[in-house]
Amino acid sequence: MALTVPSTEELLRTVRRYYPAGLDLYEHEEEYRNSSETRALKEARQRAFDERGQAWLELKQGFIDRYGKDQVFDWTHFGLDACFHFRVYTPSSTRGNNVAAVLFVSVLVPIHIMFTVFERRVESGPLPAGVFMGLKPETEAITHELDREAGQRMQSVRIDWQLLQVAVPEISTNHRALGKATLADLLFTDTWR
Amino acid sequence: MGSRWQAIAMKKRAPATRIRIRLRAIACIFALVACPSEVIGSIPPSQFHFKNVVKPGHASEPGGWKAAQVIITLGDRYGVATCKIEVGVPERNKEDIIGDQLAQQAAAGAADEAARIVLGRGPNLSAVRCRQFIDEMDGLLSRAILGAKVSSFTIAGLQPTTWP
Repeated sequence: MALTVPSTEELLRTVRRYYPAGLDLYEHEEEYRNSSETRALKEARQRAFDERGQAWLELKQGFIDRYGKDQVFDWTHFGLDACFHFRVYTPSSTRGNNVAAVLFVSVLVPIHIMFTVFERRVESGPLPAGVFMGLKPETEAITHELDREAGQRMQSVRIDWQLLQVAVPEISTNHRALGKATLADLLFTDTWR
Repeated sequence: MGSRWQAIAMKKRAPATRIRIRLRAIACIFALVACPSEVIGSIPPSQFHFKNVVKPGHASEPGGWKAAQVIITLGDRYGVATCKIEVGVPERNKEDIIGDQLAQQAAAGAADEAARIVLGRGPNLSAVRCRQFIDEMDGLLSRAILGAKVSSFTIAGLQPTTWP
């Protein structure tokens, strides 16, 4: 059976189960951390690790085999994010001029997203990462591979970036004050880079 | 015999060190109160005690993660905000192997710069200041070290240091 992207209403219902409403993380830290929603988020991360951790390792190993161990980085941080995260650097990357295709797989809903990051360093220092949600010629082939393998191994479906731009103003996170969070921040991470 | 003298010297030194730290903290707060537009004092790199929390994988699986926690007090004449910050960096990224010294220097530099930016914005609630400080530091550090993240405390079992 083909997977389908959940509706916006379903996605909103989901994030409300995992993040406490109306509490700023910094103003009410203890209440936020001890909330039933935060506990549910921790449990969801653990469940994802238990149930899909092996599939994730296999997915990653496939890319290591194809692109080399120095090109594939697993930066999954369940303490901070609600997603599996890894990046595959293009073979054309050079020191100070790296291009990565990035895959996030949500642990809350079976959805994933890919994007491209340009990491550049000039003589005066590093430039801010250039993040592009649309297809880029440099990463197009890898992005298609990531999409296919995430679907097969992680049993998830690609979601469009635009669908994730829905505001969820009643929820705050580490890097989003009340009024600033979107579905993207809550279903994946609040640091997109 | 040598160790006995050493023990006595240590006992004498301990209160003196504590007094020095207190004086430094007081001086730092006074300096900030006196000059709201100019931030004086900087956090030493050694304040960030990085501890490995995810081992770099086998040779075929680069990555790894280390983190440090610091309770930083930001102060000026408008008030004092005590922020609990956690700094995480990969053991290795596409560019480098991230040694502790490099991580410490980058973290201290980013913290100093973030404090200047946030205190320069004028009065604000302490929770807002902490959020802004963590956001600024996160942006600065992730530029200096690919993959680095700054947040409030998330990892249990690290031993936070306090500054000043």
